[in-house]
Amino acid sequence: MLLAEVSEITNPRLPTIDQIRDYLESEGWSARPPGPAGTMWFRSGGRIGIPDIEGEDPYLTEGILERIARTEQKDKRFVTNYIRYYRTDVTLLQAASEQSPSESIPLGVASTVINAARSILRASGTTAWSERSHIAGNYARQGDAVVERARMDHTVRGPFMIPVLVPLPRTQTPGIPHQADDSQELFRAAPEPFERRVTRTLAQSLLAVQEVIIQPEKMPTMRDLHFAVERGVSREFCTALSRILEEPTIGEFKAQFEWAPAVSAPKTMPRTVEVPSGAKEKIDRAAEILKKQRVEPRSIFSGGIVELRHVADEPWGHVTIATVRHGRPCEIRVRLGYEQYQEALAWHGQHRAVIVEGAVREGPNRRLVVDKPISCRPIDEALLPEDSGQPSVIPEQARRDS
Amino acid sequence: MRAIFSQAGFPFKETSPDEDAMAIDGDVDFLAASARIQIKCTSQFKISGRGATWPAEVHWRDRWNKCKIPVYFILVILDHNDRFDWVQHHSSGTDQQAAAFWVRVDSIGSADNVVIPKKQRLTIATLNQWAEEVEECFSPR
Repeated sequence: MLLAEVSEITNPRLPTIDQIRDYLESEGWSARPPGPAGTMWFRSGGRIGIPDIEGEDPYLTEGILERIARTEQKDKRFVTNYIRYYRTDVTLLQAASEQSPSESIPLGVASTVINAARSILRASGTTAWSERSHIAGNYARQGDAVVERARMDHTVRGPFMIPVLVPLPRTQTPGIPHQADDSQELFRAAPEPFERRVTRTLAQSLLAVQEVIIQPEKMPTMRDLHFAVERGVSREFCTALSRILEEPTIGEFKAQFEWAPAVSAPKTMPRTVEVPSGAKEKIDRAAEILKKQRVEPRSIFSGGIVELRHVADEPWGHVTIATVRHGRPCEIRVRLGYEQYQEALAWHGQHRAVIVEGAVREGPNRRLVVDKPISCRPIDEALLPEDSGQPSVIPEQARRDS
Repeated sequence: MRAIFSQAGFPFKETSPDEDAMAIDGDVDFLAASARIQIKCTSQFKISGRGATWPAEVHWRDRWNKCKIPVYFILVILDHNDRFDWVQHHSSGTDQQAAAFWVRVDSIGSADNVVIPKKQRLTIATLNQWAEEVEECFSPR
């Protein structure tokens, strides 16, 4: 809807001049030293003067966007939206009514969805920092900081959707793409910003709720919930979801994810997740279990791959995961058999985060290492349609693989 | 005005009508950036006269001085007092009995008047000059 096909964009809202500058800088335009009016930006076949304007100037902004669209040979409406959400993850939340679609929704429903949206984001912010089944008021400061910066956009025309915006920080260099010589293969990527990790946790938690709690015929059990908690589900997450489904007019709750183009997103994660109102009973049951019996995550961590390294002729390769451990962002190097290392290369290519189970030890130079992982798989794996078997079987499968 | 801009190949975009009913603000789109223009229309001067001055209102000056890109003030002089004579329709086309003059005003400071020299007649060549001035203000001095 926001980064959708051009035909779906009706009247896009304008980005700020700062957002335009960020886009130009990140997308291969180069700036000349500034003059009294502003800076001239160059790219093959085009040049655009970006004036140093204070505040908003829609006419100048429109002119700049027209020039970018012309140089890049794209539709201006597309360029406008692309730049506006270039460094912002957008989660569109929709509470679909069972009645005929309408341009408005009951005030009570809107208020419930907005409140629950904040609770869901807040719970995900905390479990993105450290997974836990019951937060019980102990929200992580780092997660709350992301919630503080989150914004709500104007609602989108059409089915009533509430866009939740999570701005991403400007990251450092994108890393060395690929260095290989005869003796060693090395890939290095920029770590995932924590803000992205929060929205990703939200997305994968919703998927886990769908896969682990809703889809099976039976009520969820403790054992099933382990899998969900490791992916970010908490009691608070379930309760907030349940509050939305409780609204009598809501037939289904839907979340759609539009990942900021500036930071590569997992290609395999579904764009939308739907939760039918009939699932409320099961979600409530899960919330109850998560409150009563603490589900402690095993020695498991997850995150994006930031480095892949293979020394010629060695039967293993090393994969480095950026994650959070004991309340600190860190990198953990995992040793994988050559076959699985090859798989990890493919996961990295699709920007998929991985989840690793195994004992972490401190190696040389205080580097954190896992020598013998029990499992190392993409975090969204069991959540994909082709793998929609028994999620709890995954670790065993992985064990056999490794 | 539009005819001159489009003849030169630079689109003119009208922005918001000013509180003064006769004033139009607009942007002229050059290749890399735009210039701002303010147009005034009058019949109190003669096209053949030496020069014209126009009172610069305080809020205009503030806006012009703040603007980083060039701002041009254009005075369109209509050479007849009777407005039915401004446009002449005849068998070979339509003529406007008007001429436009310009002056750059983005560094007008606190001058009370805009002084428009008559030698600065707005023609296609003017727009090429403006295009250069717009480019220059994005280059280090």
